This record gives sequence, C-alpha cells and structure tokens, in this order.
Amino acid sequence: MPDTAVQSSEASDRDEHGSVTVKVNRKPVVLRSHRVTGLEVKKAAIAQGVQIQEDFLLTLEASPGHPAETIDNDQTITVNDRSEFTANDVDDDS
Amino acid sequence: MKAEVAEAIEQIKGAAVGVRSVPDADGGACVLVDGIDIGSAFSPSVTWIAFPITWAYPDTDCYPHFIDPGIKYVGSGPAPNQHPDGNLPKSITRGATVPGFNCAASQVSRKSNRRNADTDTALLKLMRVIDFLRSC
Repeated sequence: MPDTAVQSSEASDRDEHGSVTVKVNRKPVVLRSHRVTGLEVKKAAIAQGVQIQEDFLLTLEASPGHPAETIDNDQTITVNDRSEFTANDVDDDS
Repeated sequence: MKAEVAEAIEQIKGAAVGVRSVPDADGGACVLVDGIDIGSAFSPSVTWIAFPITWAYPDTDCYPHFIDPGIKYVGSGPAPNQHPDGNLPKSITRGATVPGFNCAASQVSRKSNRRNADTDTALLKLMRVIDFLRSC
C-alpha cells in the first residue's frame, strides 16, 4: 500500500504526548500517533463519538498539493493537525 | 446554475483534469470527467465518467454515473448483464444516454442509500464509483 506523506515540520502538530488531533466528518478526533492506518482513524473516531462505522469508506480530503485520496483500512499514512477525513457509508447496487 | 452545484464542479476540477459540464434547466448540471483509469478488468482501461448533479444537491445523491459505451469487461468476475456488445458486471448496463451531453453510454448504477448530506459530495461519490469499477 502507498504511504501518503503529509509533510509537516511544525512542532505544533504534536502535543506533549505525541498525539495529534485531526478531523473526521468535521469533528475533532485525537489520534495517539502521527502514523496511523485507515482503520485506526475510524476506530478512534468511533470511540470519540463520531457517527460512523468501521466499514465506512475513509477519504483524506484534499490539501495543497495533495488531491483527495481514499484510505484503505490497512494503509498507513502520516497525518498532522491539518488532516481532515470524511467517512461515508458504502454504496449499493441498484 | 445553483451555487452549490457550481461549487461541487469546482471541487471536482481541483481533483481531476478534463472536467466539462453542461447546465440543466433547473439549476443543476451534468459533469463529464475525461481520462479516468478504471482498471485492467476493462478494455480500454481509461474512460470518461459522466454524472448529473441535480438542483437538489447537496441534499440528494449524484446518480447514476455513465462510462464510454465502447468499454468492454475483460476481467474474470461474473458479468451477468448480457449484451451482444459485451457482457458487463452487475450494476453496469448498456444502452444509456448521458443527459446534457446526449451521448451514448453504459450506465453504472451505484446508489448511496444511506447517504449523509453533511459529509458526502459529488467528488467523493465519483471516487467511490471509480473504486467500484476498479474492484470489478
């Protein structure tokens, strides 16, 4: 799986415990590490009250120089405090 | 064109090249994105994808999506939608016409039945449709 590197050299991205706060469906979610998998992002969001499920599709929203990208459950990415995710339910055949 | 529809098209243009749109009479539009790689299960593996964004957006789903009618399925999965021009996987059927552009197409029918209008967008739906095609 590709490793999406979200560049950041700012110490402010990381608090004293090494955690980072991202957004999932516009709600703040604290992650324990800057290096996380897609599934870890969703699990943290669920644990912190975001109304999604683990089988939702996770998208890392576009940022300057980086188009929006679907993040697989086992894909490890690097996030910072400007990382914003969207998680949506899967589509159905019709 | 409704501002929310225009904003959705700008968001798509920020993520893809070759984006064209035709406004409809109600404030919506039909969007066509060129040069999308839908994976080796299709031949050719690159197609345009078109879809309507209706006046009700963002409160309604972007549905259906359309691909080049010349695309054939060459993958190893089931292709129950039988047609003399080539069988296609579930959710993909031949004989459609793209609104606005009025060109022939195959239709990709993927409905977002549990859509969250607060978080879903036309761009995200397009990405999910591409992921679906690549999974066939």
